[in-house]
Amino acid sequence: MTKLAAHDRTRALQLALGCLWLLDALLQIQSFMLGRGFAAMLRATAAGNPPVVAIPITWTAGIVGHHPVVADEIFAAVQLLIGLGIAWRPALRTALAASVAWSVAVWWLGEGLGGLLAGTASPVNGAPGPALLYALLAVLLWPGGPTRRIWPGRTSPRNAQQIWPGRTQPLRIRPVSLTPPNSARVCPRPSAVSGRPRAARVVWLLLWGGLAVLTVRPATSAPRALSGMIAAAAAGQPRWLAGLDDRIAIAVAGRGPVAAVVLSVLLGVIAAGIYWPRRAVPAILVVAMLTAGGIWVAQGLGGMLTGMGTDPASGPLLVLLALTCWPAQQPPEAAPEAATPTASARAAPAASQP
Amino acid sequence: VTGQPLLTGGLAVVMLAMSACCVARLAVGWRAHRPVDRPTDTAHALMGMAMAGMLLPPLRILSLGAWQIVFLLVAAVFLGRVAAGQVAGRRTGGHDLPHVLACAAMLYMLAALHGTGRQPAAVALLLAVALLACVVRATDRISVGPAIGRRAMALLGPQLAACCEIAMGVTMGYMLIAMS
Repeated sequence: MTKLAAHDRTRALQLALGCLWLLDALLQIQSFMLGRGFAAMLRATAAGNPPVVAIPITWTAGIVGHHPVVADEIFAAVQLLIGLGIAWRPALRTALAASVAWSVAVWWLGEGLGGLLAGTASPVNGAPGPALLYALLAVLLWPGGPTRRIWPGRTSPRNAQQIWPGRTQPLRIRPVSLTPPNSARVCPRPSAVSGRPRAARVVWLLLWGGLAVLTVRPATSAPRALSGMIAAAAAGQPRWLAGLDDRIAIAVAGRGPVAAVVLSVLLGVIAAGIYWPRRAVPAILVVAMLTAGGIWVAQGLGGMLTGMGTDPASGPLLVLLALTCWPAQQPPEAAPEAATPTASARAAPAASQP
Repeated sequence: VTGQPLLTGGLAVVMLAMSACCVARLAVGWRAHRPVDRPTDTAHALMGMAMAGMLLPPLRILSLGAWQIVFLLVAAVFLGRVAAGQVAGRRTGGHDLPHVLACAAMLYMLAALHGTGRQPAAVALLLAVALLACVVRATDRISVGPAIGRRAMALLGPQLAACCEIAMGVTMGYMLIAMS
């Protein structure tokens, strides 16, 4: 079963998102975060933002500064529960909804809206903010599929007990990815992404197009901006990563505007590429993943190796987004009736058999 | 392991509870003549005790060097199972490889505490991410696992084993990130 579930792409991506939330939770309880460092980090994001954005940030930073350990452990617990909730199928929808709400709150109060209103946003410093990417991924990975009812003791007690042991009340679930054992013959249930490809493409266009626009703004295209950001990310890193970042910073030093324009064109091509012919889209997504990897290295892997990183930065999330937008496999023509939701719903209980 | 005392103390208690649970599973399985995965439960029990000792030094029952030898042997057992499965054409790697990974993480942490050379932080982070991937996989398995019935069966059920795996993976991930 687990093996079959792992073959379900949407479920695998949901689990990857859950894994990133767990990593976030553990990064949140590093020694640095349990001191005054976390509050100072929050307060710094208020700088340059309009008062309506900055005042709540300062207020939150004040509360966290007064109770750093309790606040930090609450934050970590919430992230841990979101991660485990995404992985535990009965709580998937609740966890994804909580993920959206929490991410938006963190985007505002913890990341200062990614610096978008402060004029400091740049793809190299994590714009538009990793928290916003978590929210987008939670929306795009929202489970699809029909609702079905399982009545323990009547229709399918064994299946209901398997999904929610000890449950005596009717259990209303939406199957997430209970791929039937004979998945080679039965088409997979329409996944969240393949069911909403238009929304995913619009999100992709706005996100990467936005990054392209941000790259030509002064925060990135000023002569020393790009090299300065990369050199700053190298501080406190292990020698191999610091050396790599320093080399990149030296390479773009003095060529900031040119490098910014080249990066902007690349990001623009990635943004528009999602609307190219279907066959070209995987190539564009691979380019996007490589670009995200490059940006991640320039970000110093989000400072995770310095003991001060609160999240893995935007690189892994952009890669996950690219995988989310990967074109769905066309259903085989041999089993057209199995592609309907009704047929999938019929097939799903069989998947619960041990 | 440095960290907030309440947090490290709480995690040490969770690890001791997990260890006790695994020992109880072994005992109940032996008394009731029920099949249990002895190597897995034994490994979890040992890891729980070792991690509790790393989190709270007064709970340390063996020296770091002795624990290193223990986990080298445990890793060898699971690697042997993976190899035997490959030879026999069984695909048991998905079950046994996470235990090999956990043993590698234990050896890394013991080496870091032992002070044998400078441990690369990136390795700790990679191990932590891999363990967290095992945690989400184990959590996913709980929601589609077989039903549990009577208390003895609940103790021997796969849900409890998965809960132990989750608790151990999260604690190990925390310790690795704290050490990185």
